[in-house]
Amino acid sequence: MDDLSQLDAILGAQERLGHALLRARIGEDPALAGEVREHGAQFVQLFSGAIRMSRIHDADNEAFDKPMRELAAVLGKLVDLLGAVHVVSVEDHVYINEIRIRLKSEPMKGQGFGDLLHRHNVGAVTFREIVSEATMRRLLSCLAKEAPAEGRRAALLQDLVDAGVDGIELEGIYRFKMAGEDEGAQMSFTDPIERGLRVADEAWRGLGSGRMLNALPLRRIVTELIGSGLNDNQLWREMPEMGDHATHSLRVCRLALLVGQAIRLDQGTLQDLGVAAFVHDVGYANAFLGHEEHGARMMLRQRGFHEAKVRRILATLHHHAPLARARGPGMLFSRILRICDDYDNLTYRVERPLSPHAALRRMMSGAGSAYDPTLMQVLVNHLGAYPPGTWLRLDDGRVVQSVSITRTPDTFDRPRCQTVDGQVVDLAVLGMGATVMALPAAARPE
Amino acid sequence: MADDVQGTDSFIAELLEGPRLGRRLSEHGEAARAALIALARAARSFTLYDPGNKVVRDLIGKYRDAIDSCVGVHGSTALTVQAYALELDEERVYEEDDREKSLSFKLFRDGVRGMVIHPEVPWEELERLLEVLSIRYTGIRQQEEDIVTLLRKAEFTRIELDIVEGVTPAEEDPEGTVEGGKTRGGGAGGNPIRPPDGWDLPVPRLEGDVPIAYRSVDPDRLVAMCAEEKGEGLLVAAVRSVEEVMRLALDTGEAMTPEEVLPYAAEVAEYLAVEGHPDLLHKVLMVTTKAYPGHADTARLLQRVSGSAAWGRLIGSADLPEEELPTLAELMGIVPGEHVDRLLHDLQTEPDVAVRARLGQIVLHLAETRSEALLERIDAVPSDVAIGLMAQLAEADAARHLETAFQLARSEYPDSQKAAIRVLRAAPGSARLATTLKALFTSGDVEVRVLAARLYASRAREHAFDPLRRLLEDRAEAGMDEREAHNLGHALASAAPDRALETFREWLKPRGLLSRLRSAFPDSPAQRLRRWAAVSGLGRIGTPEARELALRAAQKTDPTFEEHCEATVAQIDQRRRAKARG
Repeated sequence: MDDLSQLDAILGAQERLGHALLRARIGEDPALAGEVREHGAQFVQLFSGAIRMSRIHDADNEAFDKPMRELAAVLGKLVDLLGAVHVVSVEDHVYINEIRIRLKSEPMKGQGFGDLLHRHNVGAVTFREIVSEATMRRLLSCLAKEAPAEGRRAALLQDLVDAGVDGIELEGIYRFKMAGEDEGAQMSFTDPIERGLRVADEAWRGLGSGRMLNALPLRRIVTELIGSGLNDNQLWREMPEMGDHATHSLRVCRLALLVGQAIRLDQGTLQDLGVAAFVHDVGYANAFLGHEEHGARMMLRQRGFHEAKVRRILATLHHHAPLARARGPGMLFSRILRICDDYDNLTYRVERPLSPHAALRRMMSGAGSAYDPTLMQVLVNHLGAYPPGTWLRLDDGRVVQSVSITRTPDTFDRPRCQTVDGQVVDLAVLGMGATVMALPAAARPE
Repeated sequence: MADDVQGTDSFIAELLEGPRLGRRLSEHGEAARAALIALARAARSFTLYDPGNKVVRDLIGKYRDAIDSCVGVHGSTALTVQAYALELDEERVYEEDDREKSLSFKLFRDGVRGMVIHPEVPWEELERLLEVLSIRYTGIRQQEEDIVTLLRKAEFTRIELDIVEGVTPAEEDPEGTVEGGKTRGGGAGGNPIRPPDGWDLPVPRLEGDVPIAYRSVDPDRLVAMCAEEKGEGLLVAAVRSVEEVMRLALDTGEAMTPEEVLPYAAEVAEYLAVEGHPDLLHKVLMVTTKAYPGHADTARLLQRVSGSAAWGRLIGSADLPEEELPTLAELMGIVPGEHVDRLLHDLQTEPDVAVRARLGQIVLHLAETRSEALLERIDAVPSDVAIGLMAQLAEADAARHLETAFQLARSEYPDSQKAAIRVLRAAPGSARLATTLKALFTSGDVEVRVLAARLYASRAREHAFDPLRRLLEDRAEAGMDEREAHNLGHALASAAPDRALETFREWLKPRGLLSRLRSAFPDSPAQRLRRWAAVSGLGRIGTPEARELALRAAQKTDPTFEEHCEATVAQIDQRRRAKARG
């Protein structure tokens, strides 16, 4: 590359970087971040001080009056700003809802705060709502107690339950993960799935309580799901139950990512689609009628611009819109979500669920009217004739359940399956001559 | 690439630099160290400088060179990320304990534990890596993304990343239960969500079943679909989202309130400004101002756009298509702010010719909507734009033509001054005209001075004589050229021929004996120029007396002056002959 074209490349890069930073700045809400840092530092300082004081005085001592008032007030400010307030101590760092809190004075450095919690084997405390002074006193009383040698966090939680402390969650101690820790371990989707359900539930709860959306944890899960490979059978197994709303959200997310990847959305847009899928129905946390509008209203609460926000608002508003909509078809995300939402409802949530195979056949009849025909075909192509969860009877009489999505066009109707006792039967290996019959959902073996 | 950073203020250099490692490294280690320091410096430079600054450019160049030197010479460079250090094959090649400065800490905190940069890594990927880190260094709070999600989005092909979920439970044997329940939740579990019964149901009524089969999908159709959510498609979607929530707020009132939708409209407006789309920005502002004209949040929205860097960038963009300029000009009528001042300032100071041309075009488009403001400041507009602007303003309002010329005459740009004088020829005589023209006598441009003097002479006549004489004398002292002397002599003669003749006679009077004795020296330059002007003026007067004076002036002088006198006499004779012939 000659000097001139090298200079051109650098000038171009400079221009693009300037533009990217300008764009990123619209997403920033410096006032919010500043307030969280300021109130967060105050909170940690007051909380640490109060825990220390509680070793000397009873929680109902007058010496606590002022600190308790201040602590409740500053927590109130944080809850107003953030909704659920997650205070996490990781090694010598303290984070409040992903924002690192800078603690200047000893002994308020992160490690000091962490040590106070670690006595109870606690690394993170979540405040879901504004806590009254009285509740705060009871919390401190519990924290002041000597921790037992074993089951320290469980004991503390039991104390909180006994003391009637509500709206507070405790988590264990965290540390930074090191590279290679997972090496050798069998790839498992349990963690992302479980965490996905948890963050979906948290998103619903937070938004339902009038808080702002915290999109980052959802995006992290989506990124993990994409990074782990959407064609892995483990991802398509039945999910553990964690509330109908959370499982529905995660299943729709899983399907949407499959479609999004199949139509070759770029990584950023695919991540946005996954997050939109997580929250598409969240309006139901507030209302039955007009959940689309309520959902969009919840999306509006998030401060700072991001392209994902535009996508989420439109997707939430139009994810039930038929293809032939008076105001023109919905955007791509809403058309994808419409299909994935209905598929999940048909296969899990209606009174008499259809088998995945039957659901696809039924939905195909709506291609072109209710559903975008191209996207519908994409879903069919990638889920396969017998999508995961479909029960099949083989011509040798065995009953198996499909556990894989389409692997190649040739094996579209030959998924990998599992017998009731866990034996793997790959229909592609079994041969194309083997006849297969999909069973109705109601015929699922016990 | 020039190392300008070494030449910058030592404080800034220190801020960018970070500590150096004391120990000796392998060659690969040295190269990796240089590459990482260059990366950290370039990424941090955005916190200290404007993105367009030359130092930033130099640092980007150094980063590029350093990476080339590292992976180009030593091959794949696999780095292990630790909290405060980066290692290459157990050699510590980067170390920084200050969290705010530390490249490794930023990566580590978000879950990056390893990074491999392979040879032939495309520049686009290196640029993207720098972008991700710059965003984190500038402290921009990403509510949506962290380094990991941003790096995943980048879809690198020659940069490998080892990413873990940032934190992990530290317990060997996690505590799981309280009386069979989960540690989380339980009695202290917050508000559980219970969506209403039958939510999201029933599903739409679908008639019959259709056999399914694998069918290829037209790839072009997929490309078109993806485009809906990218580039222009997304910008249009952003506008649409504002229209829809605005409509909901207006229709339902309760479902959405202006306090909810207007801040969002403001965000979208700024986004559209960043992306350089005045047409779409205009649409959003129109929808908003129409829906909530007097609302405080509408005013805040407009202020936000006005105060944003993106708005300034939009105005100063050289890339904006010409057809967008009228809309941009219209936007300046909606968005509050001293846009005209800003534009004119930029127009005067902008070094880039293309940008200047674009700014000039915007100014011209403003002629109709911001004529008052432009009229007041037209003297500050560079000539190439000002002259066109004067024409535009005249087209918009013919009666303002002379007013514009008066304003333009105050300009420091000679071409503007000349254009103003040309228009002022049509102005009736007035004190304002006299003041304006006299002010132009101080112009740095000879042509302007001459044109002003001539016009002044023709309008003020007798009254013009003294000011013109002073001008001529001052200019002679200042060392005007003979051409200017000639023209000013003409002007003086045409203003008041009789008084001019007396003055010329005085200037041309032969020097007395003493004077002649005292100097075998020639006239001073100022004297010579006055005499030169006088001879020219005599030519303009053209009477026999004037001719006689010119003839006498030719005696005992230098050959050039003699030639000037003879030419003047010849002109007078020629005119008289022509007059005699009728």
